[in-house]
Amino acid sequence: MQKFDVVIIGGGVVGCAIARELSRYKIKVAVLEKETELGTGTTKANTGLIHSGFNVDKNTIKGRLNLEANPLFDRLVSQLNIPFQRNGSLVVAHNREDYQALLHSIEEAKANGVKGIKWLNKDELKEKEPAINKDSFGAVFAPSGGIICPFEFTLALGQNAHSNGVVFFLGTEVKKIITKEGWVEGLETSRGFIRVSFVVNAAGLLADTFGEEIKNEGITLKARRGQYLVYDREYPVKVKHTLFPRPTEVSKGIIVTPTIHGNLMVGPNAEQVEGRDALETTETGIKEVLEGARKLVPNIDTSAVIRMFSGLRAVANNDFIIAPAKKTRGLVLAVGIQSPGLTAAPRIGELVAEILKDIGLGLKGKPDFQEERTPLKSPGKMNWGERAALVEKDLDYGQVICRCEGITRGEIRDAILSPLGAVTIDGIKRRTRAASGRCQSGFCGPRLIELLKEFAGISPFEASLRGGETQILKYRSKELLLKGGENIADQ
Amino acid sequence: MRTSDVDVLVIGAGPAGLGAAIKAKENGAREVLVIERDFEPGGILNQCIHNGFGLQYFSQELTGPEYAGRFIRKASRSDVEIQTDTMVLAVNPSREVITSSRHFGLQLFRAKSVVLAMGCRERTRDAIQIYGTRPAGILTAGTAQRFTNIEGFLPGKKVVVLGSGDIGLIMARRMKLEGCEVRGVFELLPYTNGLSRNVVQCLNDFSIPLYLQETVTEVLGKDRLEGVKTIKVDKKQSPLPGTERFVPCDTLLLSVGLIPENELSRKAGIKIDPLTGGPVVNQDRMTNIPGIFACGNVTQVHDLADDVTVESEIAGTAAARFREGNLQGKELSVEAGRGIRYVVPQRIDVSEIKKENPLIFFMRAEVPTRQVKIIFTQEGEEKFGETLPFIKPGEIIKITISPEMLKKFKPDKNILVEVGKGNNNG
Repeated sequence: MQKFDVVIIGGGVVGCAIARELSRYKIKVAVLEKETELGTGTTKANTGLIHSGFNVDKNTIKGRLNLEANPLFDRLVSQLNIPFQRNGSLVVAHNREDYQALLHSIEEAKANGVKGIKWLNKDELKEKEPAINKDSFGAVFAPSGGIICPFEFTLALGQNAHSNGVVFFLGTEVKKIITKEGWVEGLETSRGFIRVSFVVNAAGLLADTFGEEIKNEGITLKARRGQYLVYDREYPVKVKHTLFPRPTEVSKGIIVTPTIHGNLMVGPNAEQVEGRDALETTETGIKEVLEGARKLVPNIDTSAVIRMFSGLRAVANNDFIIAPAKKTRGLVLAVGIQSPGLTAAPRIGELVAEILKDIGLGLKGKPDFQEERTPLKSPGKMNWGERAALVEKDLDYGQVICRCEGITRGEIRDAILSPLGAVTIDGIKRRTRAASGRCQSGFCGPRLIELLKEFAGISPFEASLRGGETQILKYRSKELLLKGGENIADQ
Repeated sequence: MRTSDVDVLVIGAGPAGLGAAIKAKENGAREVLVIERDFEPGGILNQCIHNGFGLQYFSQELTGPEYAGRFIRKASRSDVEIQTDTMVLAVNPSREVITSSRHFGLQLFRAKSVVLAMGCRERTRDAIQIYGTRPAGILTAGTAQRFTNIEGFLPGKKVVVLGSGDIGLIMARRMKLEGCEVRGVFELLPYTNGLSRNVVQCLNDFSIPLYLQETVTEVLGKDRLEGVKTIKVDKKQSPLPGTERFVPCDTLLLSVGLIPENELSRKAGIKIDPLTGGPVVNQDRMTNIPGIFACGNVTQVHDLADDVTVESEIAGTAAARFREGNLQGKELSVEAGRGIRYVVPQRIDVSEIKKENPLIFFMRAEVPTRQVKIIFTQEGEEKFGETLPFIKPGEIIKITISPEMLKKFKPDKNILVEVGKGNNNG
């Protein structure tokens, strides 16, 4: 069995950020991910915001990391070659009481080093964001707030780590952490034993499920669910900034924001749920989201909704836990990463590396570390001349497969064949945006199944939405009839 | 980029595009080019392997592929060029069209006239907000039809159909014929949205239950669909508490509405009628942009391919004859009034009223009604009326006004089309 210096459990944004950070050093690192694709847990159902750090408590780990991580993004996204925009956040006051509370926060944010933050009165707000509720009192403007695609970000971190030597085991479940005399010795996984000296637990909602060693740490995770609605890009109700209500103690509230891909998105609400897989949307939840969103932008309705979804955050207490384990040596915890986990991820990576060094891992820099990631080609973003030239060189970029988003065969091919490539329909969707448009794969679904077969050798019966039992096709035409029709349907 | 000039460029090789292209050729256009994104011409008819096509246009009962085949052969005989596996990326108001394909790369076409015939797409689960998990097994009826009839696969074996549009009814029968257990067709409204003949031939003849005023509210199942929750609704579509039930199934097919596909049109600056979801067109099916025409399901969602053909022939003829200098520019509008959801065309060129051609108006009723008189008025004065025994939203109404009758209309006043007073609902 293979032997590693460090194994990271969990291929979400936190695990991938840690992996990328560790890939700077001359050590053998592996990431174990239960699902067949990266970023399929808490990461995928995320608001996609890089928070300014307005209103954080810098005495908490999450607050401090938010403040430290936000300024890192400009450099990071240019290295990773992913879209990111500092569209600015507006925290909207509905009345004088909100105003008073928010003014106080402005001073605190300034002291915390949040750049460019200022108060906008009613007219200034209206001018900046014409769709805003006319009754708004004003807003705090935080220009450093930004939007990013959480999945692209995670994948880019993962791919960059991969090209710097990190090994990814996808579809590999960790059963148990094995220790010897109080030290980590290895991991029992669905693919057998892996020998390792240092383990980082970045397993999101499953972080408390790996046996005694974790139980001994006294961590109990709870799942908090948030529901969202995403709108057609042609929906005439649009916002430029990310709009927040005045935050409460528990949550940042229901947000109205553009996504980095130009869709309007609203959500999340915050509800405590039982279990770790209560990923459904509910009538009450969606109504709550719409009501919250309408307080900010009254015109929002449901006429152009293209997708509803919900996501779960792992909540440990009110803060992140990023620390060496108390009882097990060689184990580092990066758990309870709720909001602002996406923003904090790059700093979590650095912090975990520091902790590993402190507990005895030798970290020597790799001279050949490649910080740049080559992005996939995106003909839709090119001008006509560039696009014509690209298609002339490689005709696969000429065949449009997803008509709603204009995604070509070449892009889908690349998504499947590139490192840590797509093996599911959702995987293609998150990498290329094929199937994420208004028809929601009605037209391109059959073609994507063909392309998974052509480029990944996945049979049509194995082609799935997201692995597990989510295969789309069950039988061949006439198969049920040949087997006796309804008789077998009844079984 | 390869650049060429054409007389008429048609976007879409379904029944609308083919009909328009053939007529354009017959009316003197020299170079007629049809751009089709699929691998084969024929459009959605290729997957409609059931019969019932052509009863009006050919007075014969054909399957979808047979109906399409007639036009494909005719197009080929008429020297209409069809480029398949090619997608239109952009159209501009100067009628320049950029296409992309795996065979020809990017191409720019300068067309004297353009006919939009992109068809429509299906509404999805999220568009109608069905709550619950995200399991496999939820498909639009049209996608399931493609899988079953073209790709050769079935998505499951215990099927619930939501929505009684024609594709839903056809697919309920199709799944039954494939040996699936079809648990029923659920419809929110108190009446079906499909053609009456489809209710009889697809549901009644196959003992498939139809549940009117009952809808799906939630889906269950983590990875694979395990069932749906349904609830009955009253006349105002409000849920009736206590009528919830759980229907086990592994497949949910949605037939909950079709939306004309006008993303290209909007980007070209074409005005869209919010009532039809299609371009505002005149009697020639010309949009607000001179030289750009639209026909078939991109203009209004039709019930019958035969009507698509009728409309496409109007557009194709006009596209061939289009000369910028001939535009009159003076038009009056046709509006839908009481009891009518929409009317096509929405505009009429004034000079048309004086010509010797009949005008066909397509419209949809708001609610099912017996014994109605549809009236055309100008300034409150009835100019034309036609009595019909029965109208329902699921069946398009066609009214033809002869040249003699058209002469009664004033050339400078807008027309209102409505249901005459004193009709019985129901």
